[in-house]
Amino acid sequence: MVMRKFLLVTSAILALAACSPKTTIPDVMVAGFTKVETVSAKSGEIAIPYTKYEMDNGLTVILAPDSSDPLVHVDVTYHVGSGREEAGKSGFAHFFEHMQFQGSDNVADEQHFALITESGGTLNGTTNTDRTNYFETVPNNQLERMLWLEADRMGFFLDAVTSEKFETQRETVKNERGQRVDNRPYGLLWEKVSQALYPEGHPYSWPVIGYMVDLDRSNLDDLKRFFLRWYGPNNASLTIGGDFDPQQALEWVDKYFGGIPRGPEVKDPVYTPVTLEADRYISYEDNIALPLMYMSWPTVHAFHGDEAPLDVLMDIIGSGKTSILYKNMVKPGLAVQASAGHNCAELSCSFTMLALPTPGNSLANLEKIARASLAEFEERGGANDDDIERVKAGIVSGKVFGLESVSGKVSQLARYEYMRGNPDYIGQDIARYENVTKADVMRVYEKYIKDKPAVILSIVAKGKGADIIKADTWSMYERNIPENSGEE
Amino acid sequence: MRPGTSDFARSVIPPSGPNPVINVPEVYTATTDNGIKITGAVNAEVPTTTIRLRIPAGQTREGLDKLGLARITAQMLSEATNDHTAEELSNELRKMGSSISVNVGDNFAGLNIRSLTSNLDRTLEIALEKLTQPKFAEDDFKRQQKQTIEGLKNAKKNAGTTATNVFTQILFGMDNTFARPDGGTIATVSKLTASDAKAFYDTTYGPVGSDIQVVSNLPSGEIIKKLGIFGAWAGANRDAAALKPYPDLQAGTLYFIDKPDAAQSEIRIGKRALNYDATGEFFAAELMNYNLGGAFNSRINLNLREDKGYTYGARSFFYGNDYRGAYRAQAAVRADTTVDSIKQFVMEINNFQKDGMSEKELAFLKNSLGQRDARAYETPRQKLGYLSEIANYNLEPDFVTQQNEVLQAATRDELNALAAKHLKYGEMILVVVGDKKKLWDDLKALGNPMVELDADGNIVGE
Repeated sequence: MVMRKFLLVTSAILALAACSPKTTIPDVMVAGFTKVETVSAKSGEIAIPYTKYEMDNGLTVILAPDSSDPLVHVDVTYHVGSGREEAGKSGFAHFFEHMQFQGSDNVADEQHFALITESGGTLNGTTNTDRTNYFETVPNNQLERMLWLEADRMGFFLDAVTSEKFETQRETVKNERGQRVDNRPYGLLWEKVSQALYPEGHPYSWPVIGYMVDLDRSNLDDLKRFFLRWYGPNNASLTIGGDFDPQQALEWVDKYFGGIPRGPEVKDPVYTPVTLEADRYISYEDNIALPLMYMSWPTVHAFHGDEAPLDVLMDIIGSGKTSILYKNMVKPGLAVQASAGHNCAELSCSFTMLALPTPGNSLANLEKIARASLAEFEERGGANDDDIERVKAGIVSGKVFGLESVSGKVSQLARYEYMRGNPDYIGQDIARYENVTKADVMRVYEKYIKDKPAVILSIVAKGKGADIIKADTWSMYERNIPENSGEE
Repeated sequence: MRPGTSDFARSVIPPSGPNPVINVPEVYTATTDNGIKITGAVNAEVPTTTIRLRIPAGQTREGLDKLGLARITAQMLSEATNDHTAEELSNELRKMGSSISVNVGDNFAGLNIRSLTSNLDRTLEIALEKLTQPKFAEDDFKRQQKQTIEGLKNAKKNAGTTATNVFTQILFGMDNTFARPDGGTIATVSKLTASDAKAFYDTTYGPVGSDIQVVSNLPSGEIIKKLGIFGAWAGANRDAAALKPYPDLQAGTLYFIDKPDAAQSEIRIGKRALNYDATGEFFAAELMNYNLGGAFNSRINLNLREDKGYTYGARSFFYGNDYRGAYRAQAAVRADTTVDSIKQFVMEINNFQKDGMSEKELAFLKNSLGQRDARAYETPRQKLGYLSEIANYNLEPDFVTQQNEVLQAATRDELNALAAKHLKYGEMILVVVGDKKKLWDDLKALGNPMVELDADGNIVGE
């Protein structure tokens, strides 16, 4: 661990850990569990103390007690998102998330929400390309009930699904898409870029919420197959944080989850590099006031060794007032907004630039400036000390702010678990930013961005088709939808 | 392979443990040399400090001919100071992992400061510099102005924002600045100048009426000492504009705003209602609404979302401050269900107004809200919210205990009487933003008087 520059930060944390009673690490055991590891607060490092177990049925269990408030946070993360979907069956992981709130064998329709709300708690579920998670924050007297609820929908779900619930939730998902995508200015941006960036069949080529035609084609059997394939305990982790008795918690986990059989074997998805042969110019018209230009380069994948230097590059090019895009676009009044991004998921990352011109300025001119800004980065000699310092400080402070809530700690542990198989990754995560050098930043610029093809999107107002950067050089293909493969 | 097995009756809901003891944060107060009132709480778990500094320089301080002036003036605090460029300050803050942002509401402009406590001293120096030394450079102002105008154009394309803005204007009148969109209008913002902003700053930004809420791991004595840095700040103060009388509502009228080809319609139904109070009739009305539109499992959401599949979410609520209050029901619904969605809203509101809640619903309300505070004060942000409420309305820190007493003592008769009193559909107006060519004729069949507005709330064709 390299922690040279943040001694102030870390020593402050240590001082707290030393005088606080709430960092006791659970060292408890129940038959049917194997202890994987115990992690305590570490000298000189930011860490979230926990103990990790594996149950005989494959369920990963992480206990992270913290008695600072009278609440518990329970998180069940399944390592399945839209990245596991097949072509023609888009949106299924997310739709399934909705169905998980519609009751199970022993939990009636609406009862899930009712029980948690009635206890003073709150809950939700989210789906992204890589995982689906369900979580509840409740007063500390509700832990057993939460485990019962989560176990019921993990192990006793299928018989409770009806075609009526299926139909209503399908409509709700369509409304969600309407509200978040179709009716929102620029709402289709991500979907259009993803189509052009990833090859046909790549699971990131379709949106997480899915194509509604795919959902319309699906049926109850698809739902059941999806459940059996991906919702086994061996593809899940249960993380409990907050004010609870670890021994009691483990006994309850054993009671409610112990009888759920292991599902089919699940392997981590395999990364394949994404490349473009030439720039792909695409465009569409939307009900908007200001046009928008967006550029996207495929880079690496989350936790790849080059992710951290690419994040530094992103910061230099387009984060805030110190950035080159701000200086070249926003400051002189050519753009209302300009920024860069580096979006990373399990199977792919993309480096992006976004800008909205002020009236009278063209998207084509912004593209030119965007490219010139990259060249400027190179000409000025790449990253300087301040650039690297800013990103590191942002990472460290972000991790510390993330410790302010039990839910923040739990979701951090859960994310490292499904991404790295190791909840204790916070130190290594910081270290990879600590270790970025100026040479790294230049190297990744040359390797992934310089003279490399990108997707370039123009979004223009209805009837303003002439304002696009250049005529489309790529258009969405007719999707090849495989015949339903039936039972697996 | 599944279902799994059990050696116990899974159909039995596990019991709850004993209710937790909920500790409301201990609040300390202090006053800086120049009279800024500090309200604070300790959050010992993490070495961070979160501060909200509020100046009474919100929208109620600007004139009707200068709508947007309060916001653009506050935004100038994130531009250059007399001594530094915005880029230099941004670089320094980010190298510490600190952030300072500004925001504006009806009453206050605010500086939101967040820092690792180890970097707090320097972060506060920068905050003070931003607060007291803004440069109001011409080019910075022009850029902010341009961005504001484009933002306003953009907001008009957002159906939800448009619906809420228009609803608010109808309820509280075009001549109350707080009822107009925060950023102003394109017409007024276009005419503003850097000297307007400078003059507004010179006459409005000062310690009188300003206050600070702070949550830090530091003990009260240490943090109060650090905040003393703001004690040397001098500046003027301006009272809020006098309230203009609220307009007579044309109850029953459906105000329609066209959004061509919209896949969804935004619906707002409501009326003026009680001003805010922490433990009185407003609070009780919130309790009353819980089963109608407050909870996920409320009647409105269960009907429109879970039973009908018309929407991603529907709800209703009372909201207000010390001079205005309203009741509003709202949802974004699939375009082809717009008319029936309105009918369902009206039916639910009418039924609740007439018959009130059931015993079961009353129990649900008491259970849900009774234990909710177990997770109410966990994070610095939550603690800050609690402190702001105390500061806003001069509340005693134990107001939440009193709220719980009101909740536990509330009877069905009492709450249902409030429903009868405050939920008369005959006093409400409706706002719909949607696709006119698809919806107009069907909406007409509802029988309400209809008025078409543009996205600014002006009557179309006048």
